[in-house]
Amino acid sequence: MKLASHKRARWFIVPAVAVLIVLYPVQRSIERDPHYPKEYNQPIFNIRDGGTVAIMAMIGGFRPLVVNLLWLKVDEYWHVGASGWWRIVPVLQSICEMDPHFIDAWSTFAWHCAWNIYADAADRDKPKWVQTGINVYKRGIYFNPDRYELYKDLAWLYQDKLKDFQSAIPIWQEALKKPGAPMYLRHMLAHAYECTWQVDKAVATWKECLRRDPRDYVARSAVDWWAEQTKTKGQLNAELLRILVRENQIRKSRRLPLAEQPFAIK
Amino acid sequence: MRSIFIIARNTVSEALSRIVLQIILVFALLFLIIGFFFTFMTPGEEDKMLKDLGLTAITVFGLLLAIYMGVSLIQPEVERRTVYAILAKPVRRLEFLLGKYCGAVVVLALSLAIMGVVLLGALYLKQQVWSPALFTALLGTFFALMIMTALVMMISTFASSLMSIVAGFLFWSMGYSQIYVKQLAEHADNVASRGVLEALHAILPNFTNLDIRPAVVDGLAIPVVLLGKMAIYGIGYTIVVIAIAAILFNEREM
Repeated sequence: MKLASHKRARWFIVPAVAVLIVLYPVQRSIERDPHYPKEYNQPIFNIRDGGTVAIMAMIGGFRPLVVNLLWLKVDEYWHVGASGWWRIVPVLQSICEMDPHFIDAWSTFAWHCAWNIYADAADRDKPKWVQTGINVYKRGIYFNPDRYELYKDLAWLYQDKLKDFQSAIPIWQEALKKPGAPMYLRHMLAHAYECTWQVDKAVATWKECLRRDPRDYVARSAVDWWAEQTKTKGQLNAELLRILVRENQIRKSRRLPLAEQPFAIK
Repeated sequence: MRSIFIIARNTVSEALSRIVLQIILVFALLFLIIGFFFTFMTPGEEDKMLKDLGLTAITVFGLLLAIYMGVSLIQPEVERRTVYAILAKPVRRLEFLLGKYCGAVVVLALSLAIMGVVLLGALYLKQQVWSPALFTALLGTFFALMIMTALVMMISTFASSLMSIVAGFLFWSMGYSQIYVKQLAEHADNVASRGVLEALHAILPNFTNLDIRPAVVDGLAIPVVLLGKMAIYGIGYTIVVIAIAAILFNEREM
């Protein structure tokens, strides 16, 4: 069996192609739809540690599978020990690029940079890795503005790692606005107020915790403690201020300009 | 219309009795269940891994089904010469093609639904998670596979089964490479190459636009309007491909 006439067929194909071109606006409309999750379909040219199989899988439409395989790779490198820590970084970066709503990946990536790599890096590079961690959190928040987890982790980095309580406060506040934010985030906000000597705000926050949960014994003891301490406020004030100044010095020594981060995550 | 319905019904019953289709379905279900034993490798992310793995398995086996169905619609009928008996009756070639295609789509939809229900059930049993939203992702996959079945059927109207299968996989890869074609077009040096790449982007099927699996797994809401656009694209593209297939099938000497 053969085609009877290619010439005749061609006349039918021309309008068919024209219809295809008419479908093009529909295609564009999907791509430009504000609700279309285009961040999942960005071209990935620099997939790391996935090899040819990963690239084939990407063009075969199996991006989620590649993400999961790379996630397993992270676990494998983690158990290698410190030598594997450095290899985890590009793998986590690839995972975050491919699946930007994978909260655990962002969280692990930033934590890994700011804590683990920081510990293993040379002294002169340490601040860069903390800054990288901050940038990763911010990038993750950009893609997931309605999730509290990354706000929480970023605020904790400022508060615990950098002792920059003032910077942590607005981030805790932002985290608390997100759905599902746990009660202990309000505790952390109150702690941050205390450490910046904003006692009135700290007590108000503890009282808010009590209003929401009258059985909150941490908030109860804090409210009681501050009520007691207000009598000796002058002495405490000087002592806390001294601590605060020292912590601010540590924070400033660790702060870096954005341009000095070790690799580009803008 | 009646003849289309009769041919479609016969295609469904014939396909369901085929051993190859049953084997693909059984393998898909086995794969879905086996995947549940690997969650220990992703502590804390079991839900995500299970959903990703499940939806990917459904897509892979759905693709195999779509290609198999596409190839087995026309060519075996021609080789067995049963097509002559059908076309000798007052049945137009377009009706024959449409009936065959509709039957294949029904089988595809049934298979995806069965695999989807198994995935939902297994997720519920393993993680106590009820995620009917996964069916939204399957809807996107269904539109892509609808196009695939039509494309493979179109190729099989003039080419051998082997060539149709190879072309099917090539179309699938090209459909998922559209983001790269678009990127290349945006960075093309001259007007001619940009034009060619833009034309390719417009004409080749774009499966990335229909792939919302990762977004659904991550819990993002997919609005009905977007699903509607995807449906228009999927159905519109299918109509065009079937029209071309009908022309080619009409032009064949039999």
